[in-house]
Amino acid sequence: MKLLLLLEQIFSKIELAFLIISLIVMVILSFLQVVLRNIFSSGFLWADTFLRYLVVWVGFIGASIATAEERHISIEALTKFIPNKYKVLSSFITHLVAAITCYFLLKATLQFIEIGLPADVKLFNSIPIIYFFSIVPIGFLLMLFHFLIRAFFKANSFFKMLTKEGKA
Amino acid sequence: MGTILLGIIILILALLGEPLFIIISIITLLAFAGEGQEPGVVISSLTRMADVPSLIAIPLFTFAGYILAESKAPKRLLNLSQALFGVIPGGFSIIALVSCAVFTAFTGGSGITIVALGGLLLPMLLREKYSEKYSLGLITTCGSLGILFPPSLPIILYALVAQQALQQSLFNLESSGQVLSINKLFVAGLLPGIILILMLALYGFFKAKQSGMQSIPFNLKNIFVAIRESIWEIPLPFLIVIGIYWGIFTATEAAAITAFYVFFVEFFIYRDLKLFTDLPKIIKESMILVGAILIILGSALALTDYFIFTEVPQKLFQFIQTFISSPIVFLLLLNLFLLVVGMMMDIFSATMVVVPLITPIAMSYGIDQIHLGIIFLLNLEIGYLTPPVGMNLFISSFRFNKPIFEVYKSVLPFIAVMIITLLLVTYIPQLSLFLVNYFNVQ
Repeated sequence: MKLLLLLEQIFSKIELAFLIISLIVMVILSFLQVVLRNIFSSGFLWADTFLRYLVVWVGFIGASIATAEERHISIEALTKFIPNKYKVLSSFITHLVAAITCYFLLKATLQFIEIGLPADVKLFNSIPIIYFFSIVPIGFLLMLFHFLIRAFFKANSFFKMLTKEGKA
Repeated sequence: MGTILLGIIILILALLGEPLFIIISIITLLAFAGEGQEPGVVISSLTRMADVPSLIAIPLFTFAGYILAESKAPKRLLNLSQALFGVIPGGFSIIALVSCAVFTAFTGGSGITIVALGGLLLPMLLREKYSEKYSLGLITTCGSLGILFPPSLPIILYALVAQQALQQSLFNLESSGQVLSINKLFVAGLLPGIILILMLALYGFFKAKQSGMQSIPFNLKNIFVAIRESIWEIPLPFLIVIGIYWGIFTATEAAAITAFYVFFVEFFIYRDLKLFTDLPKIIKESMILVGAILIILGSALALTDYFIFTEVPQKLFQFIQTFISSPIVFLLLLNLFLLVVGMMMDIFSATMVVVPLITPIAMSYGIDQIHLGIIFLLNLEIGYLTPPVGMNLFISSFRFNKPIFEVYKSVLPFIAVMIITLLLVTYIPQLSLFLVNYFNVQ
């Protein structure tokens, strides 16, 4: 239990560190690019493509942290009316379903990489596209991991509530 | 039978609070499997995300918005609008309206306005002897005001999603960039947004007159002090609007400039925020929102592909056309439909799920895509405060510790004013299109 929590915290720390570095790079590089293009009519040829992929990376890592913090966007309108006890149970179900879905998305991604991703396409003349694309399977794997841990915690606290009620 | 059961299960999951991108992914995975397609197809749509050049505007503007929200910019903004508009009768309504609109334009309308500015504004309004019901309604309304102004995140997202949908749609063979762009929507939202504020200000003016309220005396010194205080932030809205109107730079470039400028000004000139404690927190919070949006966008792209693959928009259009032939009636019903959507979903999810379906249909009715975008955004803005489940209502009730029914009652007159504005905007397309054509925005 504690080990899982620690593991999740370590992962979140690494993800956050990645986000901070990426965003600072994104802000500075995109600004530099605008200055170079508009004032000096030049710019880095690779920067635009690099930035576009960086956005996808940031998106997936951000989504992973959103998973760990249970902050994904959902239709919340009716959840406010669920009694507290059943909230934990429904939260367990939704997290479990999410984990299963992420598993299938991961599988679909691996299949896509095998048959759909053009293997010989290289960005910036030398780097195979798979390096840029790897965030998709990594992202789904991270989310699968966070959803599973969350589901586990929900189940745990639900059973605790049940045994408490049983005693009372 | 099996399909219906599956649909019900998915619906229940959605209502239980399943993340929306999971719901969309389940539907897409099942739908493509039903067509006998390989699951990898779902992912291939996702790769299109890296081909959208203006996608970077989303993280950059969100980052800038969160910095502004965390700094003392809201307080400075409030001081400035108080110095400028306090002399007008009913001026405190205008102070609230304008400062919230500017703030929301930069922070994207995720309820953060009510939390950040509402807490300062409500005591101010009550001190000026505005009734509690009016003040509460005004603040709740203000929470989503300003999403029609650049550089609001909902506008950017709408433009991106609509562009993708039109590009993929069989209806439209030309380049969708000619029909719709972020720049065009940025310009188009300006007049309708100003009209909305004027209408609400007019209501505030009558309210103030009714109760015989005094305006604060004109004071040039106050104005100077307030301007000097926020001298570094004042250029920001003008930079974006003028830069785009005159075609000096694109929305994406505006995002890069804004993010860098705001970062520099708040951290190094005002020093409201500390690099090592505040920056990681701001990056984390803003990128959680960005990640949550982009992952839905990715999954919605696949669903859009499925819709187009199975010609869903065409079938829907043919179906609707048997009942409705006039575009006007269609727009009226669309308004009703969108109000309901806006009640249930936040503006980001609604955009990503609904826009791919309605853009091709509206195009078949010959409705201008820019005009449609403004109608959509205004509807969703109203949806934020439509009882029983509009998001602003809950945020207000929570933030000010008021019973939800009291909040419901307080917003009703404001909803009425907004719906009148919505009808104006819907049936006078020129309100949305005039500036775009006049400045010939690309």
